[in-house]
Amino acid sequence: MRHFLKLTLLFSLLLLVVAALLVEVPEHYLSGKADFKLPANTKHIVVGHSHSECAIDDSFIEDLTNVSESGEAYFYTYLKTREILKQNPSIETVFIEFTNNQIAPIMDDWTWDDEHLNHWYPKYSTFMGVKDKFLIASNNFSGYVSSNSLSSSENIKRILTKNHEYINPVRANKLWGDPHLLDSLIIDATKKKKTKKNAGLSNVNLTYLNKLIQLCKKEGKRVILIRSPLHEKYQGLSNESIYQKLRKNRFSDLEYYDFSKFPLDNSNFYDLEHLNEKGARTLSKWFDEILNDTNALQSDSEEFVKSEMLKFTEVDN
Amino acid sequence: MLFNSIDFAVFLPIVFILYWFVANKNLSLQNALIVAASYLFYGWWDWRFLILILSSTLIDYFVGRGLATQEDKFRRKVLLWTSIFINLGVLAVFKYFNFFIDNFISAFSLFGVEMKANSLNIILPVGISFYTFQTLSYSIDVYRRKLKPTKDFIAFSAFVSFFPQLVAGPIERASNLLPQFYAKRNFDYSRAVDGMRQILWGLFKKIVIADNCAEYANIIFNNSADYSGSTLVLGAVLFAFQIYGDFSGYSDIAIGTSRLFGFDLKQNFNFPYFSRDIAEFWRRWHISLSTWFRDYVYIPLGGSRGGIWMKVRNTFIIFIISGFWHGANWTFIVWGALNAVYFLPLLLSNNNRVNIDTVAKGKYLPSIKDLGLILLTFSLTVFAWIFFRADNMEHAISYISSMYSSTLFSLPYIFEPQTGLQIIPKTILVLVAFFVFIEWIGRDGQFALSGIVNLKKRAFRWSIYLTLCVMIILFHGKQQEFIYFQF
Repeated sequence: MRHFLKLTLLFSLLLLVVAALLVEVPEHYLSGKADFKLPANTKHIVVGHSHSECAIDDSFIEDLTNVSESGEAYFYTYLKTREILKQNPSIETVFIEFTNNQIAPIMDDWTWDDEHLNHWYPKYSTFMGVKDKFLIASNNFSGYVSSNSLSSSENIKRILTKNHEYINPVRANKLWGDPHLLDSLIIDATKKKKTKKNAGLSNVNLTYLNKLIQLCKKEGKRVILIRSPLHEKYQGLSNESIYQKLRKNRFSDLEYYDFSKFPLDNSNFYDLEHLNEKGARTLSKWFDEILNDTNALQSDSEEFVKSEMLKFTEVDN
Repeated sequence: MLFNSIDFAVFLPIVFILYWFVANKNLSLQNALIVAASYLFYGWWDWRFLILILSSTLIDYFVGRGLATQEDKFRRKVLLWTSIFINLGVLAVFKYFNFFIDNFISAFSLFGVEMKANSLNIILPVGISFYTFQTLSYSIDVYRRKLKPTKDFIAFSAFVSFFPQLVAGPIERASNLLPQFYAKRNFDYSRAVDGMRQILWGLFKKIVIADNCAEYANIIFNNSADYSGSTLVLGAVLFAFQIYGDFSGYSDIAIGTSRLFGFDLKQNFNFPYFSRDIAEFWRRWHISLSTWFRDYVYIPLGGSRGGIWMKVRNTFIIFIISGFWHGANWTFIVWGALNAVYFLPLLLSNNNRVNIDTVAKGKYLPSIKDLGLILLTFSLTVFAWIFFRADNMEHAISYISSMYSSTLFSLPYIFEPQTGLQIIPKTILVLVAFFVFIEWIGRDGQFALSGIVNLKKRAFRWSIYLTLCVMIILFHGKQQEFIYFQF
C-alpha cells in the first residue's frame, strides 16, 4: 500500500509539473509575441460588449477602431485594453461602453462561469497576473482548471500556426434581424410585468471598470463613458435609478455620452438592446461628424454632444 | 458528481484513504464506509434521490428476507411481483409517465377526441434505470433460489448503492457483486495499479474522444438541414464514437475505481466496433444490460426455443424493450426494432454464434473478409445510432433522407461555430484514428491498456501514461454530461 501511494504521489507530482509547463511555457512565449496592433491612424478606440459592438460601425468613423466584443466583461476588457494601449501609442481617446447590464450581478457570470471562461480564458490567460487568475480560481475552481486545459491547447495551436493576432475584426455590427422579431419583442416587453429593480451590483465588474479607467488615465488617454442606444421597452432599464446614482457617485469626473435615447425608430434596432446595420450606420455617421467637430473632445464636450443629439433627426442621414 | 470533475478528484482519494487506513479494521466498517460514501456521491446530485434508493434498498432487502422464510409458491410469487411492481413502477412514473400520457392523448386525437392531461414536471433521478435493474436481479435470483438472501443489511445497501457503478452501470448481478461484500477486502497492489490504468483509459475515452466527438456531432445533428449527405454520415460516425467513448469510458472508470477498493466488476464493453456481425456486437456492447434482458426476459419467454414465430416474437420483444429502457421516445423503440431486424436473419439461420473469438486473434491485421464484415457491421450500427441520437422520429427521417442525397459523396465539412467558416474537423478524425489503433492493439485484454503490464520498464509505462494525460489536457473537449446519465 505504501509503495502504491508513493508511486501515485510521485506520478501526480510529475504530472503537475508537466501540466504547469504546458500552461506556462506557451503563455510566456506568446506574451512577448502577442499582436494587438490597430490601424496606424487610430486615435480613438471603443471598448465594451455587444451593445457598442453593434452600435458603432468604425468603417464610417475616421481614426476610430471598435474593439468591443459580445459577452465581454470588464475583467477581459481591461486585459485587452492594457495590451492595446501598449502597442498603439497613437491612441488619444478610449470610449468605454457603460450601460445598465454592466453593473448587474450577471456580470459575475460573464467573468467566471463555465461558458464564458471557455471562451475568454484561453484568449487572455497569457496576459493575466496571479491576482487575476486567483480571482477566477477562487470563484470557479473547476472552470479554472478546465479552462487552463483549453488555454494550453489554444496557445500551442497559436504557436504552431504562428497566429499571434489577438484583435478580431468586429462583425456583429452587421446584424440585420427580422423586423418582425423586434415587433414581437416589443409586444412581449409591453405585456411583461415590470421587473423588480435589481438592487444587486457586480462588484468585480465595477472594480475592473475602475482599473480600466485608471489605466487609461495613467497612460494619458482621455476616457469617455458611452451608453449605446437602447429601445425604450428594453427591460434592462429597470435598474436605471441605481445606474444613474452609481455613475454620479463614482464616475462623475468622467465625460459621459448617453446615446441611450438617441432618436432612432424601430427599423434601426436588431432587438431591444442592439442596433442593426442600419442603426449602426446612422449613429456612426453622426458620431463621425461629432468627432470631427472642433467642439467635440474639448473639455466640456458632454453638453455639446447632448445638444447635437437633440438636433439630430433621422432625415439628416 | 461527474467522474471527470474536481469534486470526484477530491472525493475519491479521501474515500480511498479512509477505506484502507481507517475502515480496514473490519468488514462492517468497510461496508459502512462504502454505503456512506455512496450516499454522499448520489446525494451530491440531489439529496431527494436518496429517498428513492433507500426505498428500493429496503423493499428488496425485505422481499429477500421474506423469500428466505416463505415456502408457499403463491406467497413467494406475491413477494417477487411486489418487488417487480414497485421497482418498475417507480421507473414507469419517473421515466415513462409523460410519454404514455402524450401518446394516449395523440391516439385519442386521431379519433377527433380532444383530451387534456397534466404531464408531470419531475426530474429523472440519475441512475434509476441501473439500480432498479440491479435490485430486481437480486429479488429474481433469490426467488429462483440461485442466490441465498442476505441478512446483512449494510452489505446489501453497499451492493445497491456502490458508488462506482451506481449511476451508469455496469448493472451488476447480485451473485457476482454481493458476495464480495461478505469478505474483508485486502489491498492488492497489482489490482489497484490495473484499476488506475483503467481509470486513465476511461478518462481518455470520455474527455478526448467522447467530448470532442460530441461537439461536432451536436453541431451536425442540431443543424442537419444545413449539411451535405457526407457531413451527415460523418455526424453519425462521430456520434457512434461519442456514445462508445462516453459509455465505455464511464464503465472503465467505474470498473477501475472498484478495483481500487478491492472489487471486481464484470466487463461491460468488449471492443464492440470490431464485431463481424450484429450478434457479436450485442455480445460485446453494454454486456451487463443485454445479459440482464437475456436472463430475465428472453429466456423466460422461451428464448430461441420454439418455432420461428416464437423466435421472431421474442427477439423483437427483447430489442424493443431494450430500446425503450434507454428512453421514453419512439426513436429508442425504432432503434431497438432495427437491431432486431439486423439480428433475426442470423438467429433464424443459426449463424448468431459464428464469431465468438477475438477478431484476427494473434495477428496484427484482420483479413480482407473480416475487415469487410467489421465495416459492414459498423455501418449498420451507425445507421441505427441515427435514431438513437435524433430528437424525434421526424428528425431521424429527415436526417436519413438528407443523407441519401446527391451530396453523399462530396467532401464533408462543418461550419465552425465562432467564425462560420467551413472546416474539416481533422483533429478529431486523427484522434479517433489513434483511438481505434490503440483499441485494436489491446483488443485481447479487458480494456485497451491492460496489456501495458507486460512492458517491463516502468519508464516506458509511465511515458505512455504521461502521454495520455498530456493528450487529456491538450484535447480536453468542452465538458459534456455522460450520455447514459439520462437513462
